[in-house]
Amino acid sequence: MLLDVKDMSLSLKREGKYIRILDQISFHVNEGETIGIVGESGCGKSMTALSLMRLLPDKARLEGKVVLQGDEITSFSKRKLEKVRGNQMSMIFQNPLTSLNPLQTVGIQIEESIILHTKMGKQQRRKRVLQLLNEVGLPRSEELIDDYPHQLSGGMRQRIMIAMAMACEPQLLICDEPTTALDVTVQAQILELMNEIKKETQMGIIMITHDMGVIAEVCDRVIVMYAGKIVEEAPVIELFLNPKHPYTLGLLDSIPKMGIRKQKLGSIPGTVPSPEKMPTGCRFVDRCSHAMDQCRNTLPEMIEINENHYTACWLYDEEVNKSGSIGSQKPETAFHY
Amino acid sequence: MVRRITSSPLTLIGLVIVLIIIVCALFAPLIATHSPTEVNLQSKLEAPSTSHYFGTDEVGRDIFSRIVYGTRISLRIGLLVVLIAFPIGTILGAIAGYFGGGVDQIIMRITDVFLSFPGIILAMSIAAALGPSIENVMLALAATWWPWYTRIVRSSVLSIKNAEFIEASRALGANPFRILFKEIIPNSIGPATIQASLDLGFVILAAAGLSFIGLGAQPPSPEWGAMLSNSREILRDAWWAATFPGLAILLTVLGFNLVGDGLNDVLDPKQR
Repeated sequence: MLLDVKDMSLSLKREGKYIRILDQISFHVNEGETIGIVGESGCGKSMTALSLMRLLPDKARLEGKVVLQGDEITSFSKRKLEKVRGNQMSMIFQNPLTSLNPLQTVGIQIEESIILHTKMGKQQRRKRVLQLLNEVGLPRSEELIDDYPHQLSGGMRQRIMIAMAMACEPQLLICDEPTTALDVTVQAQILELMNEIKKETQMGIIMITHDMGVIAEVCDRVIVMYAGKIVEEAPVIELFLNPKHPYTLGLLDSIPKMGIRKQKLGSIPGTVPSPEKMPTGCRFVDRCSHAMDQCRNTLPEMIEINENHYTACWLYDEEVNKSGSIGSQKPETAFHY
Repeated sequence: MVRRITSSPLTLIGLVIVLIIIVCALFAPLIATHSPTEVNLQSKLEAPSTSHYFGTDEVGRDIFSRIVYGTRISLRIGLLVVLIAFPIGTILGAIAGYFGGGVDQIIMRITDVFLSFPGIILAMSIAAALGPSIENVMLALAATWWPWYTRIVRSSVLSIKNAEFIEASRALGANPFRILFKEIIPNSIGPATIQASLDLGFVILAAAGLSFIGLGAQPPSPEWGAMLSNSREILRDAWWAATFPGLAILLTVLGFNLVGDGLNDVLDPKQR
């Protein structure tokens, strides 16, 4: 196992009080596997990524365990963590337009992590940078290496970001919405590049996105997050064919489908509850069309439904199913190929 | 960028003035017609003429030559003061802005203390305490000037410290020190640099002021402020003795101001 996250919780200090943003997140990533994390804005996807990298504000409290290749990095000092970042695990950010230093050439910026983590000489480093530029599909690398970020297009800059993250051949790559800020055609290119890199390097990837299309394109396994908790986890095909949690169904229902012109595109009413006013039971209860009394009072546990398919919803609880006749309430599969 | 600077006539005028001053300072011995300190009582208080372009003072020194040599003193004061104050202010401002918290409080309260009384008064008291000399004037001015840069740099650091590229750099494993010097400072000194170019003129003015009241350059040094001060008593008999040093100060400050404003227009994207 490459990465094992156990009961990770994150609290941020707001107006003197600690507010829990992430609540007991547990998941794992295997070598060469791509995990997708989906959810609406504000449900804690990006915070999960930043917690793994420990790029958190000073007044944040992180609990639980994060084990990367056998090392429990949650106990690492700041100094020790700097050696892990960019070396064993790297991150690609959402907006390539603002993620590069405007005053330095892209060559220098890619070189940076090589300087930080290896003892390569100047010639070697330049060779490695040129090689990286070729690997991320940028032609004319000899000229490009001395260009400034503003001279490049969004797609090229995201390729540069990928090259920066890949420079020290990390075992884990965290991508925080890497295609959200890009044109659709460029998105496809970047996703293709990610797939190629994955094939070649056996790297573990965590792909954070709100775009189900991206998930379908690159992920092996998917984690659905809602309001700081994981509500469903399944292999990608299983999730699309047989989604269980009403929230997942809602997400899948909100995707426009080719060929089917519905009167109204599905949407989930309401918004994610704010961390200060979290319901005591299931956090989705106020927006769920299948909500029962039980949902309001007690938080559902993660249960295994099929092989490797877990969800946290009372609809699938055996006790609940036995006592009542709510089997008919089970939501229909919403996604059709 | 060069075209944008030269396209504004005012900036161009400023640039020409500054260039003339620099040329005067560099080639003073070639440009000056007389020695700046040579006393010649036979030709004292002569009006401007072809042999003494700006006339002579009460002991017969050639005012034109003294002004030409004076550019060396003034430029040196301006440059050195800014070169001392700018890095100190920048680094302190960047540290205050980036690390925040207690460090920020301490640094900013110290700058508040310095900024809470008029700069020239503070410089006067420091210069008076250290004893009158050009070096002490420079120290005094540098001590009063750095808090301005600290403020400017701190505010621009605050506006960029949460930029994504800073975060990306942390994600690559850079330590705070490296981020401060490679990412934060280069990206936030723009406004302070413009201020520094304006300040060259103001520092020269302040130094002339301190010399005028006797705290700076001492006779027979051809410092413009000191020359003004000396010619005060003979103003009624020899208008030229006070007028030309005064004009020199005026033009120098004006020149640096015009250049500073021009730089501001060129470098500030909001005013384009």
